Amino acid sequence: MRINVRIGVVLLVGLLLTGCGYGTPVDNRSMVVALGIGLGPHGMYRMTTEVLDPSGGASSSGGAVGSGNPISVFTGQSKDLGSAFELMQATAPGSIDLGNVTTLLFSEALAKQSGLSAPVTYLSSFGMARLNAWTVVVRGSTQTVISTPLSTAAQTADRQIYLTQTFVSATHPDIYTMPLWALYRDLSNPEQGLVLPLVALQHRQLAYIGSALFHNGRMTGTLTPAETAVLTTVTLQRPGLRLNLILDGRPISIKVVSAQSHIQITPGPHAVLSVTASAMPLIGPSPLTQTASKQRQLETLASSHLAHEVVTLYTALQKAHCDALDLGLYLRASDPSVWAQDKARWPTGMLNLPLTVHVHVLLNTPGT
Amino acid sequence: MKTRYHPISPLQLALLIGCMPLVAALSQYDRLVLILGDRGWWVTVLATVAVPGLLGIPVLSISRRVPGHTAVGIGHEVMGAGALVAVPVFLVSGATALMVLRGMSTLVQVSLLPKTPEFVIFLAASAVVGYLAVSGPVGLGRFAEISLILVAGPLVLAILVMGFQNVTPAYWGPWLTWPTGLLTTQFFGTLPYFLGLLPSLLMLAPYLQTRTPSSRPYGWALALSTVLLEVAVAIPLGTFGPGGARLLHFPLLTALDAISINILFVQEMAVVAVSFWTLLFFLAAGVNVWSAGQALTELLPKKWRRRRLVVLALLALLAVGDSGLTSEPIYHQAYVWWTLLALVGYVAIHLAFWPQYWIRGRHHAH
Repeated sequence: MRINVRIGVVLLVGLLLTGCGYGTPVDNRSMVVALGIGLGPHGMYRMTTEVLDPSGGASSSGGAVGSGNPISVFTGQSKDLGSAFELMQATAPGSIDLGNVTTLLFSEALAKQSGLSAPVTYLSSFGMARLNAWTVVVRGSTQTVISTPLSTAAQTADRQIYLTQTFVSATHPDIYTMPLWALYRDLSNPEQGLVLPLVALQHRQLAYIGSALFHNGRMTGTLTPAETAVLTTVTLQRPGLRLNLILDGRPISIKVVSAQSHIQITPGPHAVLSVTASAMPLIGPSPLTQTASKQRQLETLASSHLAHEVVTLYTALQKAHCDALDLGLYLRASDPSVWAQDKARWPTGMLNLPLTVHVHVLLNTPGT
Repeated sequence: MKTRYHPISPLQLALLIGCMPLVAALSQYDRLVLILGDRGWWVTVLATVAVPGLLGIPVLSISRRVPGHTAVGIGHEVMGAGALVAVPVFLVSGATALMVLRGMSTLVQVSLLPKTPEFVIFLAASAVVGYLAVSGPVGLGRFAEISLILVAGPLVLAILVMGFQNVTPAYWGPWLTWPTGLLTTQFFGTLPYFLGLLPSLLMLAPYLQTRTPSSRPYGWALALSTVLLEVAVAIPLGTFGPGGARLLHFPLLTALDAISINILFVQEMAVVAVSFWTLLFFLAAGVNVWSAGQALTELLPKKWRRRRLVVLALLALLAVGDSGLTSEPIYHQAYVWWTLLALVGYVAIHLAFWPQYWIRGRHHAH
């Protein structure tokens, strides 16, 4: 009898901890898969959510969605993010749940005018969005991108924006992707430079048009897809970069299959970037790759070509005051006294930091 | 009179003492990171464990000279002033238990049960902690073995393996510079959070199996705490950088949230982590409530020395303390000064009676 009473007490105490009294059942929740934050009229924040509706209903307050498409779109706009969220919540049938957000879209206007610090801090401090959510900058209105039915068959399936990550990543493996937690890191530390993918709606298709560069949380410039590919090779050490070369008057393309990079800060300060890449020709047996001497020539050519690309990239980054190469981070780690002097004017001070680039491309030619 | 104790193994003692600094780091991380700064942080972490660790050496020395006695028991038998020794032990253990319970309530509320009132979590945790405290060192030791080895072990492994995926190692440098956080008033203000292991050591030392050198498990406990503490500080610092880690309330939890483990059907690592870490908090609070209760028992007249009643009274006192000191700054200030005063008092008493310990210790040895 006494043991039953004890077990009963334990179970009762356990019930107090479930939070059931305040919980929201799953069918009363609006599960958001994509969240867009942009600017409305008079500089107001505009929040747009793409909500999964498994019942297939196509109710929408932000724009028409294809018939039978289990997607609903809700929008709210206000001078502050909290009120915009509340207004968006007022139009949604259930409690908006950002725990499943896989894609975060920020409009280019927001990124340029207000910056991303406020939205990212808002999302992180309230623990609302998943830290692994994929982030992207959208040219044009986020509301339009989210609510427009896309023409690609895969994208008009169940989850249109949800699939953009797969779509863009599959189409462009060299894209510079960033999860939300990395944004938080980059915006909180002065030595970091933030880079996000830039996409746009073109002919009812999402097109990857390059990368957005940031300085102090505000968008200050862009990189072309080719420049971004060099950046991902150098910083993220991802494969996929394609180099188009001309040897003996003949065109030849090689593809980087693996890359290693190392940044060193020498006294001065002076930055030295060393890149070692392994590459494969994108053609079959050719006179350009069959002999060892030709291979060495090709390696030398590819090395100088990639070094030139990196220098061009560095110039573009300097123009945007964006330290995407993390030179400030290495400067801070290797020479704290110099960093302490330069911290206040970083990354503008990067304009004066000379960079020497050493590139060594090794040709991998199977079958020769 | 020498009392018979059910012995606990060196591993159990190591786990019971070693969990304390880690728990302090988990619940007070934001303070710790603020103090650490970003230069020479690892030295500061080392010092955070080393300072209380060194203070534990005389404690062990005394307990080995007079085996089979708690600190309070020694006080009673050797110098007839046990009450004086019991008061600081009671104060520090009680305050540490309150700190641990309060930290756990906040952590669980923030990460698992956002809509459950904090006092409900506090009360539910108190029930578990009370049960553990009543079961004594043997029960606590077994609980430590099961919870830490079976549950926390794989989790720690997951943190070590998965947690480092998102880390930028350059944030840890520069390695060889003077730690900015060391020898500042803020650093000394943090120490009491880690000094909580001393009273537990005082009371637990005589329970150690005989013929075991007590310095060895103590060394293991300190080494374990140091390694875990360094990792617990290193992961958020490397993931978010010093700037990000300073802004977050529980950076270690947020760092775990950033880990993606889709293959294990566990997308929210932090939820699992907090579930497991509550066991650590239960253990740390249980040890401290037991220590405080044991000290209080020695203070009370013999007819009132019923362990369950003492523990119950203690938990009620902690609940009152928790509800009464709701203001965080006041709570932290009070805890820091209270602990420091109690420990200074304890050391002063021991130093005053050191010759007697020495003589009686030799007498016991013969």
